[in-house]
Amino acid sequence: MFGKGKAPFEALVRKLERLAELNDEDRQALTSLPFTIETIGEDGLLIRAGEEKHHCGVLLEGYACRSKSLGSGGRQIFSFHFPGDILDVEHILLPQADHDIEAATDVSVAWVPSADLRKLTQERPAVADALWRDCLIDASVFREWVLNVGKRDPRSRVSHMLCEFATRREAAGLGKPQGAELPISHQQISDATGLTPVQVNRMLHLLVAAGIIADDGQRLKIMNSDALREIAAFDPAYLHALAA
Amino acid sequence: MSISFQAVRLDTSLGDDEAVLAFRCGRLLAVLSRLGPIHGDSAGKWYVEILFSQAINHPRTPFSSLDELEEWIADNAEQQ
Repeated sequence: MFGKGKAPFEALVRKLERLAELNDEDRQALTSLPFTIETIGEDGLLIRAGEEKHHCGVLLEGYACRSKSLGSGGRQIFSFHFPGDILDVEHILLPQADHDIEAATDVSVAWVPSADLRKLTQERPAVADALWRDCLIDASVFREWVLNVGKRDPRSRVSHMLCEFATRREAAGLGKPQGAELPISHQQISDATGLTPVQVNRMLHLLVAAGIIADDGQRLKIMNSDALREIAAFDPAYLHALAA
Repeated sequence: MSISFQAVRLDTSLGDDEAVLAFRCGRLLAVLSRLGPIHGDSAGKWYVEILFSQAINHPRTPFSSLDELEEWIADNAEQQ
């Protein structure tokens, strides 16, 4: 059931303003989109590969991730998402989901009818530009993740993933990387880096021993952001406007 | 199927240096390390560092004992 109410799209508008020059009418059109809100607990499935979707999810609170799984159970996460992100902008034009989208933490999502978003992109060129850029940056992130999983050594790989998470979190207005608390589990890091949980634990232990992160088993805290970026050789250029 | 083990030390600074070479019919099948205290509940378990068989997927979780590893190999390995 969709309704109109106070649109919870401030973070989305803020993000799209980084991607294209929006005017007042663009902003008004975005905040007037119909929506329904759903809250889902950590590890809950927001979208399942294969299902047909006629709505797009705007992440309002919490963190989400996209992944694909093998029949044998192995899972590869290939992106994390932050408040203000449209989790599945492809469903504006491609209704069949080709991957899973899961709640990495407890999340709140606003579901917007794909047809309304499509109409908006046809009527508001600046919004269309912003969403197109968002898709292109998604593609850039996926390229970087292929490089990360395929070619970086385990310590750099984990460090790079943490740097990106902290950088995108900052761009979403959630605070600086230095001192950032990242609610990512060892299992999620394992699935995002292609390393086993044992290897991930070893790499985190090395980073803790060097005073670069703290790890209480539930969440990681970045204690030395500069050192983490140095280990990862992190260059945020691939994030384009999504880097803070 | 005959699995035999030879104790070795790994050249690592991570504390997981106690290890065994696992041989099947006299040929090196895998290198396993015994997980140290940094691994919490998994400390003391055996983790497959390298597996040379192309017929078995790398197990992502460690084994409680070398007997458990042998059972797992018997269940998963194609006879070569």
